[in-house]
Amino acid sequence: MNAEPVVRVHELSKSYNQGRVQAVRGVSLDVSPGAFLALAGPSGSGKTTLLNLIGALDVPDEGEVTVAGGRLAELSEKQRTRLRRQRIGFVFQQFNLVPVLTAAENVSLPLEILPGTTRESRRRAAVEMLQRVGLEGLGDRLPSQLSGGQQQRVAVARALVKNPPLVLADEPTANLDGATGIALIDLMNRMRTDQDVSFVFASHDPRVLDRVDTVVEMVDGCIRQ
Amino acid sequence: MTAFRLALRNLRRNKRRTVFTTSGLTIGLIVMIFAYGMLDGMEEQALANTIRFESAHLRAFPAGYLDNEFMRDLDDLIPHAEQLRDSLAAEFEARATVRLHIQGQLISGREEAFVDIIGVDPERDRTVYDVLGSLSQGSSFGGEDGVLVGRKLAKDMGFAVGDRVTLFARSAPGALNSRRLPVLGLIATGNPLIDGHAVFLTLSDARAFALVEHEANEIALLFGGRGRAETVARRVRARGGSFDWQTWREAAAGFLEIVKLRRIVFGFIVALLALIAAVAVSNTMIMAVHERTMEIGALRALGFERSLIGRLFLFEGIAIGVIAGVIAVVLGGLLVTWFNHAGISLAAYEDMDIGIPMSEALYPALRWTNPVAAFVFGVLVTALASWHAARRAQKGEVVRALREGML
Repeated sequence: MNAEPVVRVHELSKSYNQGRVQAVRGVSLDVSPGAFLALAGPSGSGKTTLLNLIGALDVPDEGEVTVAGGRLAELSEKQRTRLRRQRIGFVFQQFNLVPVLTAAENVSLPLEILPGTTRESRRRAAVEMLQRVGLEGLGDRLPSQLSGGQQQRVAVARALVKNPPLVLADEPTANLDGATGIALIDLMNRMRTDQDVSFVFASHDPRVLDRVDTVVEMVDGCIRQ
Repeated sequence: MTAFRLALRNLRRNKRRTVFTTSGLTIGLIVMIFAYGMLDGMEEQALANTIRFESAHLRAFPAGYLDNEFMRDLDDLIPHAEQLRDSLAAEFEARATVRLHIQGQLISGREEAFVDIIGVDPERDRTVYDVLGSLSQGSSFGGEDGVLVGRKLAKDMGFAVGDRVTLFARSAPGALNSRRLPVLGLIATGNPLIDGHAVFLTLSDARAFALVEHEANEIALLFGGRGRAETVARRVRARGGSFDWQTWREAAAGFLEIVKLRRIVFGFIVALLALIAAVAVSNTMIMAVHERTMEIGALRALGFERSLIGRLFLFEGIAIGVIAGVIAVVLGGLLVTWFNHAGISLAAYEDMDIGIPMSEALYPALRWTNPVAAFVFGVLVTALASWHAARRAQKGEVVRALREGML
């Protein structure tokens, strides 16, 4: 039985500086539901650009991306924003939590812009999510009162709280020490199983690459076969 | 709700900058509330002063009297003035009095000055004007002959209560007449026309001095409220007749122009304040946008619409305006209330003619419209100033914001 891929990338290309920098060249890739996949490669290999294209943060010059059944090329900017809001979770290298919101408020933030949620349902979801990432009782703390590892766990909780089919994580362990990074990847792996969500990482961290199911190696904007 | 809550929280990020910007705006708004309170107070007091000491609500003069401000002889007078006074008072349910103005000279020693010699019926005059109740020294008319003189005039000419002065004027038949009388008292009204140029004597003395019997050249009416003056003036003017009519508003036209001019000048100052406040708020908000570029990128990645990002910064700026407005309304209101009771002494400027009839203290007016206007003004200025930053925040690409921290 072959399930429909969560992400389908076909002959994707993207360049910057009026074509002088070819970041991604003719890449094709499928991401299955429940995948735990890493785009690996040195800096400048195009993995973050590919992640951004999959995440509807950027538009390709050529080729096509389909996410959760939606062809991004056919979506307007508003529709792409809505897709991100509803179907894609993001984890960033710098955590990018909102510093003036508590951990629980950060986690519930994506739900606040989703229709049909109530304050109580958002609060409950945030508390539950924080519990699942091992931050029970820390919901009232501001990001500045948490360690780097804890902040990244909050970011993971924020990415997963809306139950997206896809989470994209750009160098999520780059600012974490060894043990914390490993613990974070293990946590995401557990969440992948619990929530039936696909994770796509852009990373060159061996701790990540050792723990994912699939490593897609990129060099000079292309996937190494 | 999200944008509003985030906006309020974000104000706490750079507390010093928020406090600095808010304080600047608050001070500007307080100045605005207080200054407009002063202007309103000045206008109210000057109008009240004019009515109490100079114009009553409506006055009748002989035809042509008002056209010759500097050459008023006694050729044209109102005959049987008391009869007309009583009939007007009865018809319009007004208090009324008769006065006789004689242009003449006051001589004291070597000093002399052109003055308005005003004959008043003390009993009746008190029901319309407050002049006779504004003695600063001496006493009013009793049994003895004498004059009441404006305090500034006495000071300028160097005489005091008890001194004798000479009045010199042309009588109704045209002959020059003079009379030497003691100064009974000095009058201080804050009205430059009275304090610096008026000499009062009783109506009977004035008539004897001018060699007239029942004539006068002013009948003053005071109604239940000053709003009635215009209606009555329209009615009596429609009848025609040989009178010049002047309402309190027409009498006050000169200083109302001055007040209007002051308002225009102050309007420019307010515009300048608005510009400074707008630049400060705009600068604060643009700095906030620059500092939070990566955060803006992250929020956009999470699915925040561009417009919602813009609203975050717009609300943040408006919140500064609201906070400053509320503080300014409270502090400015308290300040105006305090001075409305205590008054601002103008005693040091009593010799200065500022062109506006004022008493010895200025009381800023308590009007709810001024704080409300200042509040709305503050919010509008901050909204306009933040709009530019909000537009900037919602522009730009997510990837660039996340990668380079630039919009």
